[in-house]
Amino acid sequence: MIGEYHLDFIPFEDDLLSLELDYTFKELYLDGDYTSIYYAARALMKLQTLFGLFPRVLGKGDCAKHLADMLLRMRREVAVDDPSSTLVVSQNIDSLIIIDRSVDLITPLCTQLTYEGLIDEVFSIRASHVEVDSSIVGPAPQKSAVGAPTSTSTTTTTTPSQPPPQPQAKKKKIALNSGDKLFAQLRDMNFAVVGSVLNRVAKRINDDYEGRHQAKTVAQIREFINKLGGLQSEHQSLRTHTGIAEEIMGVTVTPEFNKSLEVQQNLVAGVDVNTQNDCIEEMINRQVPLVQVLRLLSLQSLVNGGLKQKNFEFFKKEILQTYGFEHLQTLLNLEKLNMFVKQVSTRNPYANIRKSLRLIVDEVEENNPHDISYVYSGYAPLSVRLLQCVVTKGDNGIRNNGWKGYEDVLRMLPGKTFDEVQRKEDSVIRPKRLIQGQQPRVTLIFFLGGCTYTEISAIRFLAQQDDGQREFVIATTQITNGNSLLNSIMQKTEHPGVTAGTL
Amino acid sequence: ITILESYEKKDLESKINKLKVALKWYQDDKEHAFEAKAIDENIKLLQAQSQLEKDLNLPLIGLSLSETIHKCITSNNSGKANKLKSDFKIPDKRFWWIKLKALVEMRDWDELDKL
Repeated sequence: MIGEYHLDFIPFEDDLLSLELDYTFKELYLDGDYTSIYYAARALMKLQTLFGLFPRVLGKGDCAKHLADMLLRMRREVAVDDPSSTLVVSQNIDSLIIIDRSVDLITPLCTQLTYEGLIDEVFSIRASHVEVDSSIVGPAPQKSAVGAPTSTSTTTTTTPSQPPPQPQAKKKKIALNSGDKLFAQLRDMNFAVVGSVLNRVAKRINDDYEGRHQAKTVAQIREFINKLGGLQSEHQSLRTHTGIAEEIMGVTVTPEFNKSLEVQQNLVAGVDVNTQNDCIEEMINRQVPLVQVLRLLSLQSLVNGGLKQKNFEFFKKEILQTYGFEHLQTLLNLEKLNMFVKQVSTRNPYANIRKSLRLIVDEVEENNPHDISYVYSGYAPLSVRLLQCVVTKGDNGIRNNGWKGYEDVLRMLPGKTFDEVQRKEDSVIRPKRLIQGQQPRVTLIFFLGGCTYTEISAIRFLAQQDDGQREFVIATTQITNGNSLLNSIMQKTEHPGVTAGTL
Repeated sequence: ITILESYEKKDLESKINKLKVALKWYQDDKEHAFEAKAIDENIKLLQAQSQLEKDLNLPLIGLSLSETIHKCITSNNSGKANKLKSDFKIPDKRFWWIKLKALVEMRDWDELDKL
């Protein structure tokens, strides 16, 4: 007996749902396997039965179009199967926006600079839990106070991009969610300001502890004791995050990190390529992990519409000879995905896109951001800029004018663009927007092929703008970053010693 | 294109044979001149490695070219390393990086001084 198990969204936060399908990117774009589109459509269908039809479905990208078509078809099938169960148009959700990962591959390749994003880059977050060395976060108290830790320590032998841990090094699993108030405050911030916030919180907690000296009367003491539990858990969470932040700091001060960050920033900003090439060559010679090299090379290829023939072959040869010939397949995969290719024409769409979508913002205030570009310290994620096209007011003050006004930009990006209106079959008139006033409208955003923590942060930032008139709910097939994205398409090697960095 | 299954083969002989099949495929196709060259080099590397394994009594097969050179230097066979360098036309820059790293690892400061 073979049944069908419907994979559904797993809610991580109030505004974040994930299907946790780790390999959708590879399946969709490399293997051409569309199974995950079907899962995504099922899950979205379920949301529709719960909250009503999405009045409008917009999106960009070929696979996104597939998903939208499938969704519309499923809805018609439901109507045929059971005519009585007509779905009404949702009053809360005003539209569904589907963004295809292939439309914006640049963003995930950049190193994330928000706190949560960096945790993901350094330790990799799995299902909103992170495993770190227990020495980093200090001894755990008996009563675990952090968020909702689901598990105690486990033993693992290796974690990538960490100093070689002692065998049997104790690992501690930490839940990262908004149950931890301090983390909720820190997660979307640029890492540059995390330190000062931690400092401020530490001072405040200290002051609160000092408060006990002022307690004179029995009532005051009781009040303090009542507060104590909260204080202790805050204290523990502070210790955890200070530990993690310190560890990340250890990585971000290394020359390798800064060099590769500098290369990235120059690349996305369109600064002359030749100096970046030297940096990348040096990285290969130093035998840094291949995935880091590929991140930069793919980024370079994407922003320049390919590499010059001479450089292209040079880097390919360097990689094969340094990291092993089996990576020929890796390189072919990247080529197939159009992520690392030879330049065919001098026309470069990215330069135009960068200009028309204002992807590079020079003045960034990490402390007091006024634009989403703060998340990458100057680069605004392309995917989120696209969202902004749809959700911000048009010139005439009317929202929901869809892609209008941005047709030129969209044409430069790969994949189809679409905009469909869903309504009840029998009634042509859309239900009037009645009781609009109080409830903020919700826009559902679906990332097909994964999104990064940084994009989530950027979208949360958008939600705070606009006077809270609009809420965003983010749904995704998985949460990804440059490393996991590339790892999924890299040729796996089994012989020992070939993994870079062993020399 | 996925004839690169040869990496799953355990013994050298069948590994090389598989690669030769793949090489033929690529050679027939002008578009894939680079791939053909790469596979050709790969075969040469495996052959060189097996020869070196006999000479030096070191496990080398499965390592990348740079790692092989590294091993040669650390086992005091700089001559072999230089030969690999010229056989595979390794750019000077990278070769010196490898050499530098290897010598530092061996704490061979005298040799390092000579560079």
